[in-house]
Amino acid sequence: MTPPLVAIEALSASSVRDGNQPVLRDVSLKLERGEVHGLVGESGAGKSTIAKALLGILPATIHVTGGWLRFEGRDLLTLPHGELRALRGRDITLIPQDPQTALNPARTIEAQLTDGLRMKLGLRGAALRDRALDLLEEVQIRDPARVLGSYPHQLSGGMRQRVLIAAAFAPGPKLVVADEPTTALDVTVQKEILRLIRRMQERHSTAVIFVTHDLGVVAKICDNVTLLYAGKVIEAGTTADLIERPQHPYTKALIAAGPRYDRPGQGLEPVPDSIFQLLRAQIAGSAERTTAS
Amino acid sequence: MTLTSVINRLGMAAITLFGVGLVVFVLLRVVPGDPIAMMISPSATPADIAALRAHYGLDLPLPEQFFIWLGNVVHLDFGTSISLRRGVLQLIGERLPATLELTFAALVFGVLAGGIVAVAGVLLRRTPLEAAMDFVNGLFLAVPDFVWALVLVLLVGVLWPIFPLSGRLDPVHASDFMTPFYLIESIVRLNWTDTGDVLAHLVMPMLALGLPLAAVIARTLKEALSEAMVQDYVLLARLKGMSELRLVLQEALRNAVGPTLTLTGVQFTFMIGGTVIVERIFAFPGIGNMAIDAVVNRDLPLIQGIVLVFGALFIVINIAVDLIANRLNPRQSHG
Amino acid sequence: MADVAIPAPRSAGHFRSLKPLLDESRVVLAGGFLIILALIAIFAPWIAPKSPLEQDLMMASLPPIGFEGYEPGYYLGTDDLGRDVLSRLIFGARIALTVALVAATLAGLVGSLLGLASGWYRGWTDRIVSRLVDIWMSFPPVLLSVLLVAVLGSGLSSVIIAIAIIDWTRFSRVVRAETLAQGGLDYVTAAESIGFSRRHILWREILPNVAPVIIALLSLEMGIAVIVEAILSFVGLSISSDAPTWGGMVAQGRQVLHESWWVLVFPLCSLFATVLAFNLLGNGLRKALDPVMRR
Repeated sequence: MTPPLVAIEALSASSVRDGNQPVLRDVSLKLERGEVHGLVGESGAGKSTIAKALLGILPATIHVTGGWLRFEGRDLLTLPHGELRALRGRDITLIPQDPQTALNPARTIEAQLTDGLRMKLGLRGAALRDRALDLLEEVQIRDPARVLGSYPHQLSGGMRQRVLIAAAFAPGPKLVVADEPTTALDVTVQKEILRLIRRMQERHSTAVIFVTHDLGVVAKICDNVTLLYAGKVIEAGTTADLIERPQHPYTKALIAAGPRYDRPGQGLEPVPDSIFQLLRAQIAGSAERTTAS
Repeated sequence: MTLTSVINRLGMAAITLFGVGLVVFVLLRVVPGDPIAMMISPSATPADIAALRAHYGLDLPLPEQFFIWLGNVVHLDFGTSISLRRGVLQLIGERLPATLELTFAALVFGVLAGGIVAVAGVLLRRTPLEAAMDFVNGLFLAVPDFVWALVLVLLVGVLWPIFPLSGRLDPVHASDFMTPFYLIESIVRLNWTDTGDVLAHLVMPMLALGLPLAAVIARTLKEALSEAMVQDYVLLARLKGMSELRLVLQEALRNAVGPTLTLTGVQFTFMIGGTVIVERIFAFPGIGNMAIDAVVNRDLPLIQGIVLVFGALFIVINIAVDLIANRLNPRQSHG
Repeated sequence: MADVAIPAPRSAGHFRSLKPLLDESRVVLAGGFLIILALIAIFAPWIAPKSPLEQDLMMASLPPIGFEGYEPGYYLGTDDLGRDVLSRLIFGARIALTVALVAATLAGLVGSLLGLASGWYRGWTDRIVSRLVDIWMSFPPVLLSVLLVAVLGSGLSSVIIAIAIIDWTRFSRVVRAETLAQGGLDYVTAAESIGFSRRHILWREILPNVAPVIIALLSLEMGIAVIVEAILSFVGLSISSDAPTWGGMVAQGRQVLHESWWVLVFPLCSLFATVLAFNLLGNGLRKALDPVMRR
């Protein structure tokens, strides 16, 4: 039996800077090939720590205190640097959060789009350019030949994000980490970008880890969801289950807090304080159990 | 840069040069010590002296002298050197190439050495080596070219005599050259013996001029590179699997080079000023060395000519730097 | 335990800014060196073992103590005229520090006043000063100083005046930029709204905030003045060629480099250390005195 694409097992980490405050508590999740998995939580919930761990860019201030992070059965946390670099950019790529800062202002779109194709696939010359044009067409950029010769400042935010998506899918990765790829964009552009990511991932049957704080986005794009709070998994399951039949009061409250397009006039209820008290009590309780055992 | 702004800059440059000329002119007319007195024999009669004064136009009222001089300068007539009895323009033409070859060699050295140190510093960040490099760099920043030139004289003169310490080339080779651009000419003619000799003579003054420049470039570029290295696009490129060296050279360098370039331009103009003393120390026959002789000999036409040449160089470099900086910024050249 | 740290009480007023200064070991080192140098300069006649001027051809070109052929009493050897290098070095410190102190103060005074005026009143004052700075900047400073000393005649005061005339632009450029920046800050607007006069705001509100920069520049300028004096002496234009200046000694040492290296080494080391100390002090001051806002 082949192992799942990504298997996180009982991963714990703490931040040295905040007096060894835990940032991940016993997190486990599985990701199969071709699956879109939402990592949801407010800021500080640990979702981007997981994403950074997958990309191998955990800051030096974060220490993994236990658990495994396996990619195709190999533990990424103990993988030698050389193997990690080979993996990076080829099997695991990133769609970054802010298209304004994630493109080098001094390099053409063509150069940045084809980095992966050149370095990882060894494409050169006409083949490289054809592939770049194909990629831009795939992400529905009109006049791809002109865009290839442009510099980032000549493109709109939505266009840049399309370029970054194309670059992320270019080397044919097995896993794409999408780090809140729509937060920095206009609401009108957001939907298109979400649809585009979904279509690209279906066409290339790529697995996607979708990091977001927005359950509404998750509902549109993800197959499965893991909901985090303060570094702990609160609830996980298929998107349909979690949205339709939420088990945990926090999940219910989050769903109630989002706008309900199906029932106008409802929703947008703030998460009540009582629920945060419950969460804190649960996290403190499980921490005690861990230390006791 | 638009055409109008270039014309604007040239206009300002003309005013500055006019000011430079005026300042020198006025300054020199209050010099105590009559230049004529130094060139006549003790047996000369007052009539001889008056004739000589009239010959050099020194008997006219000051404003008139100035405008005659200015008119001549516009026609590229800088007059005749009193001490050397030759055309000022001709003298400058013979000496300026030496200074130009020296400063450009120092510029190339400074940019290369400073660039390499900056890149190495970024690659070695947070290691003890980085701190050591910063310390040495601090020394080079604090201590000026005059002192470095003498330190080099000391090192090479006493401890390790590998390079010649004075002149521009071995007199044996002097007859090999048809132009005053010795380095360029010897390379063009593929005469490697001469090239080697010219380069050996160039090394010491070049280091004295170029080391402080390298230090400035190293510090500014390193700061700019470090700033660029934490940008999102560098992180993304790192995730694409690029090596650190490639990240620095391909991703960060082009975005970091702007402020460094501007500063390099400023430093380069300082360096041209520095040639005056460095050429003196190494007995290098350039325009700066000649300038000091001219002052010591109260050679008014020669001093005026040299100062104007320095002023013009200064302005040309500033404009060139602006043009290059504009070229390198994609936002302006393509936008 | 409460995990809220109680902030340490801070000493009030200006003394707060001395603390970080003393934390910088380089600043302490540089300041200490300069104080010792100043003491040596002041008490030169009592410290120097020999006369700095007295020639003794019988004792010419003696090496420093410890090298072959040295004479006791001539610690750093003698030059080709038999003058004691150490004594000349000690008296040279007098000239170097006098030039540094007076020339830098003069340049700082003129440059800061012009910089304050052009940054605060702007308009035609600024235009004239800026154009003057442009013209000044296109002179190679070494050439200008040589020219000025040729015009003014040799001597200590000529050297000092020449340095002040050349280097006021260093102050005016920085002070102008600093004044412009300060002039746009809220506290100036507040002072204006209270109804203080322009002049009052310049002296009472802006100057105290620009002063740290001026102080740091002064230290840097002193280093530059030491070098310029040395250069002028080297060229032979400073003070009489007999006088014990570091630059003159260096020039002499350059001539006899291959016979007696010590004539060059010791004054060069003095120059090196002094310039470095003024620089470290200046940069340390700039860092430490920088108002908190701009960090």
